[in-house]
Amino acid sequence: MIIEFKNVSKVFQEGAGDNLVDVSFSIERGEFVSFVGASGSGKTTVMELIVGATEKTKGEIIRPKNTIMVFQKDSLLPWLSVLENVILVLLNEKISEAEKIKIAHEKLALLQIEKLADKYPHELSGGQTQRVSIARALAVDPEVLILDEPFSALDEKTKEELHKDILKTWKEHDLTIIMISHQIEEVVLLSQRAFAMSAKKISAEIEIPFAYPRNAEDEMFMKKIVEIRRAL
Amino acid sequence: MKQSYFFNKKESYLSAVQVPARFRFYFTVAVPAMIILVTLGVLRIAGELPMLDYREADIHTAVVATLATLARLMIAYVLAIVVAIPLALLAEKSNAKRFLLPVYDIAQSIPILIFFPFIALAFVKLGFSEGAAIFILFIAMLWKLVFSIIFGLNSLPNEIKQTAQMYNITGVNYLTKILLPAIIPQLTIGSIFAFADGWNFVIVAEVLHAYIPNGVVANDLFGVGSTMVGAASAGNETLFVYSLIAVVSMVIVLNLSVWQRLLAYAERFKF
Repeated sequence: MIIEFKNVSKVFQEGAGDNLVDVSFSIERGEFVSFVGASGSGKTTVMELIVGATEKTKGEIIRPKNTIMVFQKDSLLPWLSVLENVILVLLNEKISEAEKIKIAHEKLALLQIEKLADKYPHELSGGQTQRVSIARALAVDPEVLILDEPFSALDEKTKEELHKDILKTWKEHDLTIIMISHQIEEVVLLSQRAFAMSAKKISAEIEIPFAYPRNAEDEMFMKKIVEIRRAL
Repeated sequence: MKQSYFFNKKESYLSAVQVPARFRFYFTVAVPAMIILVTLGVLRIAGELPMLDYREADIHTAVVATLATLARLMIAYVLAIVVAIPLALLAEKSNAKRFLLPVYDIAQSIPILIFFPFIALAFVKLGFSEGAAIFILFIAMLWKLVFSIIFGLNSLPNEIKQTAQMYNITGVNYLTKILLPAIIPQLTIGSIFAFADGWNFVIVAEVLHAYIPNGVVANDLFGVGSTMVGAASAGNETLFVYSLIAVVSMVIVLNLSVWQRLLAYAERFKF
């Protein structure tokens, strides 16, 4: 087990109500898990607690230190090139400068964007930006990768390509991936398990035991979508 | 394989972000030329000034006086930047924000000109008249810069702050790689307003004799502000008009050669 929440609650402001109520779950190393729910259901608060961006009010949390979250937008520095954005996260690493550049190029190549190394963020499409963010995350060799609505701003074709790349990266790097999404079909397409969230709680835990690659037109696939929708 | 700038310590920050071709003229010719002009102005201030007879002075006086004033403004601006950045960074700290912001707000709303007679007298008594003008220009510019930097810091997306935290980008790296570049757009806008305020204060700042008991024109600081007042008093309308034209020309040249180009350059630092 790599992450465990035991009866965790979070209150951001006294008297304003809880942002998370008595949440318990565990995630095994190497799993691909999703949190699905409407806006304001508490998904982001769970992720912030996992990365340590906020502190719990009650309960117990076990989480690895090396957890990286890839945001939906605005996480690349516009004044740095793609390569420099990746190298930026390696500045504290105790390895040679040549090694840092080599790692950055390797990760860009892994996401098939090495040719974009000298481009600037404003020259990239939404899909390319997400790939750079993921390449940057992989550069620090994280144990857990959190993807916050990674495909919400992308067109269908780009989304499909990125789905394949993420599954490939997950398997090759033996990563634990946690995805936040409100797209149920996407959750069933990619994850092994889904936590449905509503009213600041986990309302259901749903296993998705299908082999990859998954077919969205398959009957079992459709049934799983209905099962998750009912849990929300 | 392209060398990343992080490892090339000889490169300045501006060259580090790869100055595009259209800005090369600006950084290689315009800025050095501006520095030379300003230095000439500073030398003019520092040199032994002959007692000016505003009845005789001509266009040459108006031009050199404008450069002297520009030098004074530049010195005040650099000092204001050096002080404004730490003040703004202090106010960004969440525990200090609550009491520092109201303090800054009150400080910037105090009309500094009411204190100028005391400031001028104090500096004159210390034998450093130049300090009086630079100080008043510095204060006039300071708060515009502080608040523009604070605004720039506040517009840093939360995702960037969280990203820096996750990747452990802290201390000097956070300051130089993230915070300082992020404030460039707002700092540029703040600088334009600060400089505009500086020009507004120039006449008051240079005409020191008005604040000294039994003061004479010789107490004034050489610059376009004092030249305009001197020209008006001496009835030299030509010099007054030349001075006016020199100031307006300088403001237009600065706007076109510095501020407009910096504004265009700052675009790449916007989120």
